[in-house]
Amino acid sequence: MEDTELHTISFTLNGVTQRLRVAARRSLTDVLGQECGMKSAHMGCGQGDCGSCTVSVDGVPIRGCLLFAVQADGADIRTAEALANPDSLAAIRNAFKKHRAIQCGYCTPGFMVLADYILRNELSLDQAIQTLSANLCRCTGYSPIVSAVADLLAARAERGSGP
Amino acid sequence: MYPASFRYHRPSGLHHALELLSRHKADAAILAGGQSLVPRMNLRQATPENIVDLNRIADLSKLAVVNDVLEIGAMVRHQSFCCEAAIGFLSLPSGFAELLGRMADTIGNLPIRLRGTIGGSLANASPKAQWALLSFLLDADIVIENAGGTRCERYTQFVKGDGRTTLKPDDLITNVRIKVPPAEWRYGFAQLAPQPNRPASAFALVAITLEDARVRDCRIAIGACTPVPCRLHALEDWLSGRRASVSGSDDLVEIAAAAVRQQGGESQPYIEHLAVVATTRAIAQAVEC
Repeated sequence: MEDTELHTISFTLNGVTQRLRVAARRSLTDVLGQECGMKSAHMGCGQGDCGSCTVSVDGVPIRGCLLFAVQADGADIRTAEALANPDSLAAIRNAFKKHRAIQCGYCTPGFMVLADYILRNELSLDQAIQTLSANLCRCTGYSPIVSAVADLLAARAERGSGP
Repeated sequence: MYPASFRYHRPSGLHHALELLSRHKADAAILAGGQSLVPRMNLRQATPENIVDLNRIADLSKLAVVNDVLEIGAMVRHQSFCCEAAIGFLSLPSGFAELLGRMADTIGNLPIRLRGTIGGSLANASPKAQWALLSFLLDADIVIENAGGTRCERYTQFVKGDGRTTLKPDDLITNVRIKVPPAEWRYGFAQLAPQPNRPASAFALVAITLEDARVRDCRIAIGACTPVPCRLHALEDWLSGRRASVSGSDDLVEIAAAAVRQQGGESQPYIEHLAVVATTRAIAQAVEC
C-alpha cells in the first residue's frame, strides 16, 4: 500500500510550534530528523531497546522509534537541542564534557534527555542509575555518564531545589 | 526500517473504536502503548492495514475501587503503579499497593513503562508478563467489549497458551478487575532474569496470611518458565498450616521442586531450578516482610 494518506499534525518542538503533513507510518524520530532538522534525532535499533531515539514528550522520556509522529499531534516535544531550559541544557552539556561522558556520541542525545528528566524530578542517585539503565551506550561509557549525572545531582543538592 | 503502510484511525471515544474494529476486523490492529506492536511493525512481522489508536480515549485510563474491586482501565500505563500520585487516592492496602509498584518497576525500563499499558500486556498474553502473573494469582477478571456487547472473563480462562487468548479480532479489553485483597495479606515477588531490564527467565509471586507464626492461607504462582503462568496448588496445600519458619528449609525446596516439575512441559532442568529459587525467595519475602 502506498502512502496516499497524509495527516496534518502540529506539535511544539523545543518551544516552537511545528505544522507538518506526514504519512502515518513515519516514526517521531524520523520526522524530527528528516522534517524538523533535529540532528539529535538518532534512530538506533527501532525496537525500543537501545534508547538512542529517546525524546521528551509532554515532560517524560519516550522512545521516538516506537511512537508514530501522527500520535504526537498536540504534544510538547523537547529534544537534546534544547531540553527543559537553556540553563539545564548548559549544565548537562558541561557535565558530560567534564566527565567525558561521550565517545562516539550516538547515544548521547538520549542520555541527555534522561539526565534532564532525572534533574527535573529530583531523583536520588540510585533512582538516577536505574533510569539511565534504560539506554545503551555501545562504547560502554556508562561510568562517565553516571559520574556526569551524579555531579549534576550533587550540584543541585548544594544549590538547594529550584531551577 | 519503515513499517508497512497502514491507515491510521484515532477514535476519540470507545463507541467509535468498537465500530472501527467491527468494520475492519482482522485487518485492524489495536495500538495501545505500542511497545510490543510497533517493534513488530518496524520489523514487518506485523503488517496491519488499519491501526486503531486508543491513546485519546480518556475513559480507558481510569482507575477506581468499586465495591472492593480494583478497576483498572486498559490504557493505564505500567508506570502509574510506581507512582503514589497516580494510585494513592485508591487507598489500597499498603502491602498490595507496594506489590503493584514493585512488580511494575521490573517491567522493561522507564520509557517503556511510561507508554506500555496493562491492557496491552494482558492481551499479548506473554508468559513473561508481570500482570499476567498477578492476574493468575489474584483471579483477575477482564472486561471485553465489542460492537455487540460486553462480557467478563476470568483471565486464567482467557489465556489459552503463549500469546494465545480468546480475544476475537473485533474485541477490545476495556478494564481489568481485581478483588482488593485483605490488608493482612503479605506478598513476595522474586524474579530471575539474565540481566536487569530484561524479561525474566522465571518469576514467582506469593501471597500468604500468617496466624500464630503459622501459614494460614497461601497462594503461589510462577511464570515466565511455563507457556502460561500457573498456580502451584500442591505447594500451596503443603505450606498451608505449617510453621512460617519452614521457609528456607530443605523440605520446602524439595516440595517446591516437585510442584514446579509437575508444570513441566519440556524438561529444562536449569529453568526449573530458577523457578524453584524464585518460588522459595518469594515465600521467604512474604514470611519476613
